[in-house]
Amino acid sequence: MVLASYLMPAWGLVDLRNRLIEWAVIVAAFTFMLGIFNILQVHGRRLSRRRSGWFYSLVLVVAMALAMLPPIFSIPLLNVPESTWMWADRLIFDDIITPVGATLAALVAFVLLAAAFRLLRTRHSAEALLFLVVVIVTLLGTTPLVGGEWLADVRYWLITVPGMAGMRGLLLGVGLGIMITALRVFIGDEHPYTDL
Amino acid sequence: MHTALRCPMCGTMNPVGNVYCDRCHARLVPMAAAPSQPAEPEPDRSPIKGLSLPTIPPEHWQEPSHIQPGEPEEAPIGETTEPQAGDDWLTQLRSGGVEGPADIPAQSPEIEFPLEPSDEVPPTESAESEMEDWLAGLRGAAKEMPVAETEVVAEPLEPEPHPMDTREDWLDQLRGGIADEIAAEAPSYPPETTAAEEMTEPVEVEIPDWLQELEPIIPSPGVSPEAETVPPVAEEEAPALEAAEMPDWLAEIAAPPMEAEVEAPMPSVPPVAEEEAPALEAAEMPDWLAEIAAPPMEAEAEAPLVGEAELPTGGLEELPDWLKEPGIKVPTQAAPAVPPLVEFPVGVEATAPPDWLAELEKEAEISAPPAVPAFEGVISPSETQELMPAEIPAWMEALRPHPEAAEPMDLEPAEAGGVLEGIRGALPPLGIGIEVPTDQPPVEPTEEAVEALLSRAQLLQSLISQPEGTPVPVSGKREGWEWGGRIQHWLIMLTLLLAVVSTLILPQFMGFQFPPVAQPVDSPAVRQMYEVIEGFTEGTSVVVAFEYGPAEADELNLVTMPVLRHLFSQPISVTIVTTRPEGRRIAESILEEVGVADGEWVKADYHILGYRPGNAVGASQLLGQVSRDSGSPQAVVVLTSRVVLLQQWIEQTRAQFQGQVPVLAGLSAALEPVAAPYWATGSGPLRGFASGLGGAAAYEAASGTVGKATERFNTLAIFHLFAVGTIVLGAVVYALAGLGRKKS
Amino acid sequence: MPGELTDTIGYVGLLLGAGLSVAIFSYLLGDNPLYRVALYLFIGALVGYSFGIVIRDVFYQMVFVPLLQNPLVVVIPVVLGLLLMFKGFPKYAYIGNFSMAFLVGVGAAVALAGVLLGTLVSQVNATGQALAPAVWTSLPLGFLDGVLIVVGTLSTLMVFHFAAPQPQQVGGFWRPVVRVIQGIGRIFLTVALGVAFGGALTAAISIFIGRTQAVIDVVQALLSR
Repeated sequence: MVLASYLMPAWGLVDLRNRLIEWAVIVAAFTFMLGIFNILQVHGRRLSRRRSGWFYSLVLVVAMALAMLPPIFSIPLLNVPESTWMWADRLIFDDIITPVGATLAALVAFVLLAAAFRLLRTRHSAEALLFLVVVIVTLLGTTPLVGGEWLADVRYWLITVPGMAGMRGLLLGVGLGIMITALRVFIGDEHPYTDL
Repeated sequence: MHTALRCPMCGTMNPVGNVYCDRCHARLVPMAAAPSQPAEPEPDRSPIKGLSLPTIPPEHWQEPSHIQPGEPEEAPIGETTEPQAGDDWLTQLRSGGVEGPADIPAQSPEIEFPLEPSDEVPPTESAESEMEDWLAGLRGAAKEMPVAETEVVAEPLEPEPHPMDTREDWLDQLRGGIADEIAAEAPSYPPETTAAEEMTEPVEVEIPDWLQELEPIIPSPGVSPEAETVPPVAEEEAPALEAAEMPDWLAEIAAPPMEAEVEAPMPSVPPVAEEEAPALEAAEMPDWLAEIAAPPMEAEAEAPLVGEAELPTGGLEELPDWLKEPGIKVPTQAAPAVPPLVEFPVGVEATAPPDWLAELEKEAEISAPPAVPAFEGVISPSETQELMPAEIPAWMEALRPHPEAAEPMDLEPAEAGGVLEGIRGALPPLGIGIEVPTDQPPVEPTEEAVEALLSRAQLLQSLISQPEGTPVPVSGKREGWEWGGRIQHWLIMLTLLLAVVSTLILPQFMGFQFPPVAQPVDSPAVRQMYEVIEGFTEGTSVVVAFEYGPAEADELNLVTMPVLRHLFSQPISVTIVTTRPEGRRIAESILEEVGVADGEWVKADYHILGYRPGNAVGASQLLGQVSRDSGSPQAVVVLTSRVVLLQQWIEQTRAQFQGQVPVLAGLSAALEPVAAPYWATGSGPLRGFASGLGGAAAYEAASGTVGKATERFNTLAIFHLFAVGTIVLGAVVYALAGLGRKKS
Repeated sequence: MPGELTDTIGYVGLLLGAGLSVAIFSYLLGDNPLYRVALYLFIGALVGYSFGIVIRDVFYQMVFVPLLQNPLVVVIPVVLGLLLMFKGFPKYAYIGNFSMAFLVGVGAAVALAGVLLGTLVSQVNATGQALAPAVWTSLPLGFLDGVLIVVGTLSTLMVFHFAAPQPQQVGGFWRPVVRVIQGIGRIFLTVALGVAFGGALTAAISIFIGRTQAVIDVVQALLSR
């Protein structure tokens, strides 16, 4: 019905689709709750049995319990003053989640740089060399040095012609795979809902 | 390296050659050598008790040829039991080594009477001397008589002996006793088979005709019914006897057999015997003897199986003197304590069994294998020699007890530990397919098995004896790689540190400023995005999707802020949505930073619709809700650093609004190649995008503002220089190293 | 809350953030307990905060409020959601299969429609239009770029297999032709991945710069205090 409503937006199928999608969003929220339950199960077991790393599990469970309070307190129905929970909200989001998350993402720079440094260690092929050349041109073309604006043009050509062609092939391949998987679910060849 | 075996039970170290532990006597070597054991002599086949079927197939009667000369003297069937005192002397005679007349043509020359008594009970000398007198005359008459095969009728085991006190009564008693005994006789044994086994040579000892007539009548397998009768030779020879020498009563006995031809069918004679019996010369069997022969066949299925006729070895002294001739050897074998249930003539291979037995065998084959019967007592090997080998399964064969070879139970060491502690002769836990250890002596492995066991034991011991913590050699990792990895690790950290110090710390703490080394580049995609937003008219409804979290905020905030400033400077309606839980909080902080709350430049009104889970489903629901609330949006602005999220918004927008609603994007630098196919130089669903710090700087340049992106662009350029230098250095180093490796 | 307390809390928060950033950076020196504590703290806070958002934006806005107004609207999804909770108990997990089937069905339909209409059709259309004058005139090398786009797209598609590899998929004359085309496709794919790698490195460096700047800002604030 949902698929048909996209192809034939008539006969009230659109409204039906919207209703079904809304229901799916609500049910998807329950899956989030299921995930929370699983996390509590795993780490709670580790805590109760004092297995190795139980202290980290304690930190996680306590942080989880405390972090869910500010958004809940912000529900208008509870009539909790904003000043009461806003500082906690800022502390949790601005001073814990944001710095740690950003730093974890910053570590990726080190990893990517190390990977580029070692690229020719095990691969001595023309493809590896081409890959390295394209990476260097992209970096220098993103922030072209003074006098090296032509590198920006080369980078633009790389992105809009060969890079785009390759990426389009990738996207088409992924899209075909998604289509095949969805069709298999529809015809009953795959039923992932029973494996969960 | 140690060369010893560790006991699994007590842990004691034992020499490698040990099969049992010296301390606790547990088995060290698995019993895997059983199949390689040297072929043991064919075990004595003991009769299986409890079966009421004929256990002596008539094939023995049919194949006297299978009896090899020189067969150990075996008591005829029915004679394996210990002769009881007082047993009928004729029974003894029949089971003894009574030689048949020489002229009886042998259907198979191997059929013989047991010519010699068993070794256990040789005839006494005194008995021999007493028999010599009266028999001497008979011998003379019988000298010319060819040795003939006589039939041996296996006498059933007589529970009670019949004392033969007088000659006058012995024959009457014989007649009656034979009839009774044969009626109760086990029909399974073919006395003639026994006879056939035992007759390995032509009879050498002369037996009087009248005595031959009195032999068991049950035909041998290879003997025709005709031959089952009293050997015709005997009958023919009877007239040769001097009449004066034969008692009248005996003459009467002898005559009928001579006259009568054994043509009458013997109903109970096995048909095979009837069919395959060699054509003996008409051996006329006396009627009374023929009648006696019949019942045993009929009573096969009824009478309990009786083994060989009991040889009253202990009752030799009760035999008449004339019978106790040296030539007549009464087979005396060590009778088992319990008569064997089934007696099979050893050495006689069965040929075609009679129909009745064939049918029984078929039924036995079809039915389940017979259970191992309970053995009662020890059965001597000699008694089993006459039995026909049964089709015993291999697993049952392994269970056959060998009393003489088995170790006494009291010598079996007790288990020292485990569940079976204290139990002697306990069997190890069995699994499927594992042979059941019996009372057999410890298996002596062959030389090859010993060598294999030794090598395995040595290897196992070497592994066990390795001290804990012995480092397992890791293959594939050379020592040099570890230092190379560390150097590379520190080199990259140094690169980043130098870049940070030179671009961030020095300018801010030392006041040193790097000269601008790079300028933002104008991008067609950024320009197009700017133009689209610039073209929004009043009342335009725009959906802004904040699809990034705090981890990407450091980069995307630089892109989002100039785009939001431009958007909110238009008189439009902005709906802020997100499918990420932290997206709403990010939006609130960005809006706060941009200053949309209280800025005069802000011309747009906005409201935060909130978070919807489910990725594509959530995006579809949000677009639908926006359409229901405020009509179809004129544009969708996606702010994300993930390919999936960009795709889902482009696809759902295109699917819901049939391509009528353009999508604009503020992306991370990593998504630029992914966005290019959707942008397609302006002809695709993506109408423009700004990616990364460079795109943000370009958008700021297009907007005519200088923001954080422009300020940080030079820093990014220097970092890029350091990164390119590091990458080139690594490429050169490893390329040269690879070339050097190739040359070497 | 008093402003001083708020300021103090803000100040503590700044220090906490900087400290956690340094703890995560310490991973460059090797795995250590400080890094692990910061990581588990982040995961717990993120999961808990996200769940709070779910409670507020979904359970309250989409379930509780409509429930008060018109229960029939949301009774079905609530029942489905409650049945889904049985997935947490292996013994009774089968009860949640219906809810999962509903989710999977709707999700698959939405994804399929989006892929069909949003990616496959548009991308195939755009590939064909690359040879159209209106398009290749805007390209740097004109018609050559158009041809390159078409050739690159098709050759990259042939690099992928949607079936188990067969020992001999194509035989005869076409085998070397297919191999050549696949080689060309790999070149285009290498360029695309190289550009993506460069962009990812740029993004990571940008984030690194931002994080370092944030730490420096805290240090500066401490020094100026």
